[in-house]
Amino acid sequence: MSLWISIPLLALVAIIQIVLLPQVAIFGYKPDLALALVVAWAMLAPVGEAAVWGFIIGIFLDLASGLPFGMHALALTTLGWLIGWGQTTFFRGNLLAPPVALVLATLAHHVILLGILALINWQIDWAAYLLRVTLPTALLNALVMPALFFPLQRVARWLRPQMEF
Amino acid sequence: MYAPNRTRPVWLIVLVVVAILLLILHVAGQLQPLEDLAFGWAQPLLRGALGIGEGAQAVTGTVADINALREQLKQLQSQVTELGITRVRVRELENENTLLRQQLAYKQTNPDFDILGAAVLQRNPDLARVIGQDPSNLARYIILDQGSAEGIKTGMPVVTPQGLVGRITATGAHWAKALLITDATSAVNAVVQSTRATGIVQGDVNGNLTIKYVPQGEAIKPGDLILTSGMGGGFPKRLVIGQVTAVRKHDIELFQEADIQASVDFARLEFVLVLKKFTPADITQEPTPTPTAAPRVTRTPTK
Repeated sequence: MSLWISIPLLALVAIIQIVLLPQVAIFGYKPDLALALVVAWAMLAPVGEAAVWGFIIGIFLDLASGLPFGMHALALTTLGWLIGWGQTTFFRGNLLAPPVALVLATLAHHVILLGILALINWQIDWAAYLLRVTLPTALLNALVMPALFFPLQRVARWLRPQMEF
Repeated sequence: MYAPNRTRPVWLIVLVVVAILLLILHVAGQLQPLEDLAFGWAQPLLRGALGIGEGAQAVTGTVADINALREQLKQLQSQVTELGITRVRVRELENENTLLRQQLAYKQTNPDFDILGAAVLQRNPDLARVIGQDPSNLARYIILDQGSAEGIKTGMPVVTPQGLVGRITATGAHWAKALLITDATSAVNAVVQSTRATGIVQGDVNGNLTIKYVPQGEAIKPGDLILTSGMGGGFPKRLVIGQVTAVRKHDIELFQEADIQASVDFARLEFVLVLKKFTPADITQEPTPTPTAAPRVTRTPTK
């Protein structure tokens, strides 16, 4: 997808993540729409395109985050790349693949973010974060993934009618 | 599910390297001008989205009865809040009165001492609008629409009329980020209003509040109000933090701890006050303070 279209789209998703989703958080947890979008696009688009999306939306998120700048960009670029590579091998044609991939991506995303914080000398209670934040977030993400993945699949089919999805 | 056109790996490596570079520049404190510039562009969009969000929320309540009930509920909640604040004020005045009487008696029995009066908070608050929250569930920050150009500095306390919200951790020209007291890295020196027992209020990964390091001998019970003690100088004293909901006490432990229901609804923050000036608590005036322990979490956000 052209950057002229994808950049405004990604900015919009980042704004929804920053401004609107905190208002509809469930038991204090908000779904990670940006991560879900990157993962979904990694499973549908040419390998590497989702990594570019991950970088762009990561920069937008970094602007609003209290965590050190660049963390979201780094984590989402890496995940977009890895999942884009993985979709050709593991996820092809499986209906359960999108939510399962997002659960794994949420775990990897939080491990990368917490790992960077640990590297710059923040004390991290890994067990508490992974059990009480990552796990519920991953499950919530998996629930919202179909609502994002299937419309995106239609977009991908429309953009590349020759492709098999 | 895959496509043949691949982005060249070299570009992906460049993106990862750029992200790492940004991270390093941020940690080194060299990224501020770039963040200011980007926030300058992003702020109108965030404000616009906030307006849309509020509009959407208003549209969802189209049924007149629901709107009327909502309005009544709002009024009642407002009254409850006002009564709560009045209750806190009255109890604080009672405590202050008792303290002043004790001080007067002390002065009368020690006429040669030069005793300072009670500290008065000098607040010069600026109303700041919350324009967003941290995108991740791992951290609890809010973004404000006022920054260093309006006199906001790192470390300033952020409050609402309901109580303490957090403190400023990063500022740009017209934006600031505040760490909420519910974040796992936050620690606030606190006092139990009824007994004046001191402790430290910490957030956790789920955004709950707990007062820790309260000595075993101190009485603390559900319903007790928890206020800032002012010790450490980071916050003025007597800001409401919340109310005790449950106490955990084990005989084998040196300290007891208690769960707190925050007085501020952090999910519904719209406007906050930034305390640009206040008189730090003078601990020499505190009545028999119990020793405070070091907070469990000592890390300081880099911004």
